Amino acid sequence: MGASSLSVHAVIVQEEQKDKKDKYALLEEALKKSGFWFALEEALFRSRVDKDQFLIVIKPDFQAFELPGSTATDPQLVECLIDHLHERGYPQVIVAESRNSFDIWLENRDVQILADMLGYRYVTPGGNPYHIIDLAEDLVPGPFPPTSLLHGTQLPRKWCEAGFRIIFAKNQTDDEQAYRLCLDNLLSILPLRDKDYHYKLRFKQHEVLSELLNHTTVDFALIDAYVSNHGNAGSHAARPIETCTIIAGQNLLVTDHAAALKMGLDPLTSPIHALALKTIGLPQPYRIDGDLTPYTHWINVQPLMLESVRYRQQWPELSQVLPPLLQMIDQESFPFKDPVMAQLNRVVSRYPSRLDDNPTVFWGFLFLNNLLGLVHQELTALQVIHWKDQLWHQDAPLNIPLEAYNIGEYEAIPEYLEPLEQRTQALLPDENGLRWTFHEDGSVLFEFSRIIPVDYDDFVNRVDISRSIQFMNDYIGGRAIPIQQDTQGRVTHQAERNIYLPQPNYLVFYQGRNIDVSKLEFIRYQDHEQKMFWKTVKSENGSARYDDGSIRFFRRDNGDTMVSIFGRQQFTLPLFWQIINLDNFPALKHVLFTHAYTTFFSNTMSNFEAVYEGRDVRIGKAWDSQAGEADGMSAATALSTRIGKVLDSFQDILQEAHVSKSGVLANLFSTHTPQPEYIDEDGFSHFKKDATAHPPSEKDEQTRRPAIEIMLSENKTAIVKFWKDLFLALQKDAGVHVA
Amino acid sequence: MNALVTGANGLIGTNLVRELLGAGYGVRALVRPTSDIRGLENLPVELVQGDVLNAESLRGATHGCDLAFHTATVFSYWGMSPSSLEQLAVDGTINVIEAAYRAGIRRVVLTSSSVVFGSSTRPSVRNETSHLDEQDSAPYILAKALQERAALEYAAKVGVELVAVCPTMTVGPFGYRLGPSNGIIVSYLRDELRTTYPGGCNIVSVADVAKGHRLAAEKGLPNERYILGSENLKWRNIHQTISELCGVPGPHWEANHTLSFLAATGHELASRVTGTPPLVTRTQAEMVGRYYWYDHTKAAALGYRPAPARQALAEAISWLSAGPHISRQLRAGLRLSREVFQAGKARERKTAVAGVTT
Repeated sequence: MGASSLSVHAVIVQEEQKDKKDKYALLEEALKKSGFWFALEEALFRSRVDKDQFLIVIKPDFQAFELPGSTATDPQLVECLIDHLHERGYPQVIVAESRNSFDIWLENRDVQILADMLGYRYVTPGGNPYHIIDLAEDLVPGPFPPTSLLHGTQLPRKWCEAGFRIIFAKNQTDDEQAYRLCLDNLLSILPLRDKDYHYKLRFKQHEVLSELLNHTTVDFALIDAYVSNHGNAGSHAARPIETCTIIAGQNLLVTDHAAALKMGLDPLTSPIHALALKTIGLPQPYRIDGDLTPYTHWINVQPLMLESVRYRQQWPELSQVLPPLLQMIDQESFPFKDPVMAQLNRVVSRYPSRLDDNPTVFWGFLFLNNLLGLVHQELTALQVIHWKDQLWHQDAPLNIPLEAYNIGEYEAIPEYLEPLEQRTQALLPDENGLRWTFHEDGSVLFEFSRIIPVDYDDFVNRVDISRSIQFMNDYIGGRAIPIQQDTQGRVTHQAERNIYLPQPNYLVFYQGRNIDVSKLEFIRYQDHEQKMFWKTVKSENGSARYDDGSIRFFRRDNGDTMVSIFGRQQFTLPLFWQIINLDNFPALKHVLFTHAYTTFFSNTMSNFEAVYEGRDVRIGKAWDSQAGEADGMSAATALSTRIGKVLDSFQDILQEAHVSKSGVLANLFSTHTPQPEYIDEDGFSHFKKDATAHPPSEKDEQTRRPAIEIMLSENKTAIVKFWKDLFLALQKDAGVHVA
Repeated sequence: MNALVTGANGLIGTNLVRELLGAGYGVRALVRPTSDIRGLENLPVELVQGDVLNAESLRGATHGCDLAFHTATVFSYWGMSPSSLEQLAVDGTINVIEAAYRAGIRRVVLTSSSVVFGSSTRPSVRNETSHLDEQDSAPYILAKALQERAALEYAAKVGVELVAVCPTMTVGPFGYRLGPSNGIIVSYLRDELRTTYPGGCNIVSVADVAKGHRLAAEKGLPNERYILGSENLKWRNIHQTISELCGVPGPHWEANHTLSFLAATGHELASRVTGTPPLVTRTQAEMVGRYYWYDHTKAAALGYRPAPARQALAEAISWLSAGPHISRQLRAGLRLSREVFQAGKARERKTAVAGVTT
């Protein structure tokens, strides 16, 4: 971070007597008081670049849906900042933004077009020119290490090459994060267009932002709170309030921290801010200058609403479709690309703006959010049990510091496990080959073996033992990082994070969590045996106390392969089962444990057979790493297409039943895609007023009329045939002679 | 010698192509532009796009060939009207014979079906002298009977040697479209009740059927029909064998006609909702209780020596268990026997020798 002095601080500059001309003065004062110019000069000095070549990137918030809006950074303030920079001899200033998920749904969301609509003029009122760039257009490899979830992600060249990077956010509430300020704004420097899909669903948003803060630099943070946007709907609805404040700071987290306090919020209310504080923390010492008294008449998002939105947003498909539906949008400026969405948006988006004024709407939203969250939760439970391939893969980074473990710690795992293995092998196996018992500390020791009737050499050539964890039953995601390899290139030391579905699966109905464990692994290769040992060193969600074990591929005397799995496990049970306490019912406990382990390892062994056969055994569906890009289709747009098809079918059925196409339905469900009448030289798409509705022609009426009669006639024939054939089947079963 | 194979991407077609390549034939494979040709990937064949219903497309396909194998058909009890099935079977076959005649091809081998010889309500074995004598046969069966009759008449008229081969229930690898024959295995495994039913059929390996095609081309008599089958088994024995090979219990119970019919109705209704073909149809349910048992003595005279049904099933399961028709979740519940793994290994060796991949 850009902590350039011992005392990192943020300032809050506020006008009591609002006077719109004073916003420029407020900005100037905030820059001065926050040490902006000092920080800038220090960065210039460090860069050893001439002042006239020193590149400054300003990243404002372009997230506006109405013009003029209260959810985007005021362009006049941005241009004022540029003028100040020119005055001080910094001519190389760029305003930068990137497209986001709304570009998938709406027209005119290209960076340059949007900038133009917002009021950026490429030349400041002071006559100083500047450029506006799309950050995603020129990328360079990002600085993310292999353990990072952003490993392989590119970053904007200009952002990386800039000598000074400024985030200039808008002051506003957010219905999911409580507030949306500089940290949220930072997400825009990531390259992919469908940011909701990639950086909120595929990866967790708070983890993405923490990675960004860890591996990139923001030199200064500014918050435009002159006119803010508040209310329970967050940025979904324009609810401007004149707060006449500018907040500035040399540290992004401190600046956001100060802005949250000004809203009267605990900064930790925001999950993304909370994780950033946990993993990075505030600089020490830090100072906030200015009046921290909360804004008057300010409305924050109610905690109940926050919880319900977070609950609802756990539904990935829905969480992609709902933001454009709920967003209050000036559809003349930003027409929907999909007419179905346009119609639905007109119906739905009027309600969020009433959240603060109409208790019925508020409680209705709360109810619906919780209902949708509950439906998703139960649907997920069914998927875990019955439709595992409908679940999304969990793309999770390795979450242990590799430097904290030396090679000796990997190699010590066999010494820890082998005595426990011997103890378990002394037990008699049950009819399925399972041996298990309890350790004194309550963990379970088990061993399960299966002979796979294939040649051992062939088997180990096809099944890589270092990937064994990924072949286990119900593996849904994780990441393995090889640490060391032998002379043949085989992995011998490895660190791995793996996530399994709740075990046993039915625990999902009791709020059972995924098993999320990070392990050290050591692999030993011998002529007739390969063996991998693992030991859990961390469980991100506290789902496991122990998940240690070993897997052994062994050549039998006849050349066949024997696979044995040993383990020591202790998983955290859901609250319900903790209260039940199965120790009070030892017989039931024995039955449940035996069933759970037999099922898990029987399926795991079949997975090894399947891997040998060459098939992919991983459950779940993979995220599309190119979703939302020019040639890709995001799940959201795919869903919209599906909605369109369903509505088309519905419309067809109703039309068959003599419902006129020119009626209400045509207006509601029309899937005709409007084509722009023309695109002007600035790239704006211009549309005619909707002309899709047209009166039915006489020919239409004639061709439509007999349809229902045909349908009834066909159904009648099918029904008669069904009863006739059923009667024949009954005759056959009764032994009646049938010709 | 060059051979044209129509329907080369089908279950029998892909295996016939492999058989012919192994025997040193040059192969031209005719497929429709929309066909799934994964079964032909990496094979040294000349791939030609066309359609047996488009006589024009057949002219170029037959040019320069010495033999034609007409396997193209739709073996299905769902999704096609009787008239479409008949058109494909009869018109398509006549187009192929006509094109063969114009290209100077001396012999056409037609893939017919053993069902043209009918079936019995008792466990009796039928042969090439038997007739289709039951009323209300399924549209597919009627289409095959019409196809065979029209083919023999038209070939005699234009002077092309036609040999008809009549495979029984053919199972095996490389069928990327799941037809009713491999579907028997898949539907039994998917059925958690592990249901069997009365009656029986003759199960044969698709590799043997492919070899039978070649033998018929090389040694068969013109205008003759040869049943290509193997063992006659009751459905209970077939399902028992599948259970043994896959390491699953069953069959647990035997469904009667009524329950089979109602279950098939349920499958069809579900299919209308999901948009996927049903695993079992009412047409198939009406075939429950019948014995599709056949004798292949006549083909044996050509050197046809089919493997036992158990081996045929093992070969089929070894491919199905690793392929797209058995879900990952279903596969996790199987514990395949040594025979299945050996069958898979044998297939790999065979294809490696032939210089093609599986």
